[in-house]
Amino acid sequence: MSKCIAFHSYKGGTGKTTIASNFAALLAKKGYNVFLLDLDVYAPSMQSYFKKEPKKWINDYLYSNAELDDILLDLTPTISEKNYDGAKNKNHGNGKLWVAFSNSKKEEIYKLEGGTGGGGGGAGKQDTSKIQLLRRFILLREHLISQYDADYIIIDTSPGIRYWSINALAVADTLFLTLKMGDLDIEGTRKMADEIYGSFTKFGAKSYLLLNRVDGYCVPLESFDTKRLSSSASTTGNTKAGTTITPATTNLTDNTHSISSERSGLPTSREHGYSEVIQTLSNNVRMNVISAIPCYCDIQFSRREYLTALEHPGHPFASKVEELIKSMEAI
Amino acid sequence: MILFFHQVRIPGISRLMNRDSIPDSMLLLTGTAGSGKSIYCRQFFLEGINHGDYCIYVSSTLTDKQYRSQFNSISEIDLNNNSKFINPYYYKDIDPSKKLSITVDEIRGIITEIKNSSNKKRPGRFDIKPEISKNKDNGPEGSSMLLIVDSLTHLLAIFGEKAVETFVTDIYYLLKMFEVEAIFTLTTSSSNEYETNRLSSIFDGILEIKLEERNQTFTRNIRLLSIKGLHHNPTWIRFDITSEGSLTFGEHLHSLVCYLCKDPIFDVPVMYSDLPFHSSHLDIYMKLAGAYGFHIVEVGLASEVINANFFFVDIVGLSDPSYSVTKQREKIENLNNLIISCDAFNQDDKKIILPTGDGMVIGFLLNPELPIQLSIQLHQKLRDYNAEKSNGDVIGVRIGLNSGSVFTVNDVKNNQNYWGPGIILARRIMDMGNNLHILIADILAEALIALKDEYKTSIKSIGTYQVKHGQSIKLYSAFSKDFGNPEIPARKDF
Repeated sequence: MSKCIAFHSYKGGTGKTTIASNFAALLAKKGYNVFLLDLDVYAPSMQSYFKKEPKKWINDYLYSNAELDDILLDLTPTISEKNYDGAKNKNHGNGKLWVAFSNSKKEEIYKLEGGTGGGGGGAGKQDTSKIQLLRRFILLREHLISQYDADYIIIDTSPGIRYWSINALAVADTLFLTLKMGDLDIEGTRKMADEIYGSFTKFGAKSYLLLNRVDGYCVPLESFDTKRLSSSASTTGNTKAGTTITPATTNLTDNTHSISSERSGLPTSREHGYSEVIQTLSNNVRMNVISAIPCYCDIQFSRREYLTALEHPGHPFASKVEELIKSMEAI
Repeated sequence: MILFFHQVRIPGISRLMNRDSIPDSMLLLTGTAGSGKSIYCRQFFLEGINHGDYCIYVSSTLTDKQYRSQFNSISEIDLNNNSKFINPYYYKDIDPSKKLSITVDEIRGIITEIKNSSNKKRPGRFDIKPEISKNKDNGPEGSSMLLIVDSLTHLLAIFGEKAVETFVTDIYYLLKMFEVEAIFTLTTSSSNEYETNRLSSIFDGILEIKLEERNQTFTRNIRLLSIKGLHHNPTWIRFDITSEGSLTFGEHLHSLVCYLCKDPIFDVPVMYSDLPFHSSHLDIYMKLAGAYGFHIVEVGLASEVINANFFFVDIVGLSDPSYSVTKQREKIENLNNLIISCDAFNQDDKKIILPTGDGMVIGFLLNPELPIQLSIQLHQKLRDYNAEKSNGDVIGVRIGLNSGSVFTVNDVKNNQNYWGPGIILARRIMDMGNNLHILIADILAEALIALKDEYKTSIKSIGTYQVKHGQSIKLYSAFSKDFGNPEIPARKDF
């Protein structure tokens, strides 16, 4: 049974692409046939995580200028490539990772936004070409399931309420609404969930809040002992100068959750006063929290994008993504 | 004449499958009573005879005389030499429970005899009486054997379900041994779905005829619903019955097309508002409809998302039955003129304007201040206007303001229109108010308060209200001595 998961947010910069890319890579490592789609068509950035140039883009497929084979990059070797420390990642089973990117050229973005180039309607008339693009997008999902035997289709959506974010959410069966711990994000998320999420959940979608950057851990990358830190889904401890640090963990129950922290002098969500806010948000929007991922300075302030879960499998972020996968598998 | 056991044509096959023939198959032809199954079988028979095939015709509804009568276009000699009619009911002195098995035996005997006579001359091929070959356009090379059983429905009525199942199964294996093309007919109705399903599983494929009546005219369509070992897209083909009783096949009719993806539906469609969907697409459509507004059922899918700042106004009490239609129209026109005369309306801002009958909605695409500015200016103009009017001519209005998304859709005349949560909530907010209320959704009110100090004094929170469908909304009311209504609106039950 294929599963289609959309990562969405109220505004940009919540970490959707980072989490979605790592999430897809780890799913493939676990042996699944995974298709990662960059549907952040207005500001695509996923390509920077994989550093591969496709011959054709999702845009080409939507405009019927390419077939699925043309836009899908088989990045399975990525999940087995050597780590920075020379250790070999294991690809358990026969997992595959396929990625399709959106074109970041401004004219391509304009074209998708305006729906031109496909024989669309004239002034004063509905631009029917956009509907054709939507139909093509639905076909893409169908073919990934029926012809490519997808276990998971992971969609990185555009933030907010926009044409392509709504379309992406509509074809997905599981929605992860990603947000950072900030008043603007929380309030925007609440309003957006009120406005459109009810339509999706009413007709079968399951939606969850995915908290990102709930706590800060300014830990040098070198301090992560990848040999000692397993990337299992259990609560992860990491070592910094002999101090055990346990990131915040999220206890999930039906429509109730709490953020608790066993910590060593680090600020927590509770301390920031966000715990109650999140509880209220969760109740208001009737969504459970699927996971809470702390902020890691080495990722946040890295000058380049990379797949932390693959390059540093001992990193607590990798553990958090694995936790997210386990939670998702249990849905 | 030499007959080959190989691919055989069924009537209309080139239209049904875009190919000239299919492998030897035992097909079930279904359809309601009167749909044309027997006439289709007749065509199958005639084309077979004309092509040099040997045909066995099994029917419990025809007498031998009736059988000959329906094929009177074929000479008596050809009919005798190249076909065999069997009515299982007419076996004399046979236990009725054994009549179908006797029929199978007779069919086996005929086929074996022909096979043996064929083997004497050329192993693996039939040799049928030479008289036939002189009539054949295509010569003997493409000839085969055909079996028609018309109808299983009647056999079921006479011999019962178990006997007929056994009969069909025995025939199936017999035909597989000898590679004979066969069509069995079955009349479908709502009461025999179970039997139809059980029997259809025995066959290689299913032909389906549907009869439709429109404007007192009957139309017939046929499709090859499935065929083992061959992939194809079942498509309804129209066919007509000529006055001579032969069939003519028309162009492809579109099979049901999914309203969402516009692709044909080959499995069982799911219907919503009389629209067909692929079973996996209805949920997606409903999600899109929920997000874009359910009137996309009439106008199609949205193509654009626009964020705007909405001003929704209507005339209070306009539907009062004491007002004449003329009076109502005057009030609407006067309100429109007052709105158009406001500076805020004429600001250089892209806007959406939609009439709503007793008011209008205006969506300002750029400036979030314009809805409140327009409300204030309209109230000031209304105050002057109403001061000169008698009670019956006074215009009272209520206003709802909101910021949110709307979607571009086509209306029934294919004109561009807008719909979505931004407008819907503005309307619901307006509905909470009474005369002179300017009610504002929190998202817009808080943005305005943050924008200018003057709004801090004129826009006040009035608490959380429940609007339709249990949706809660934090409302603000704009008022001063010159505009608005300082009274707290009554909470309404939805």
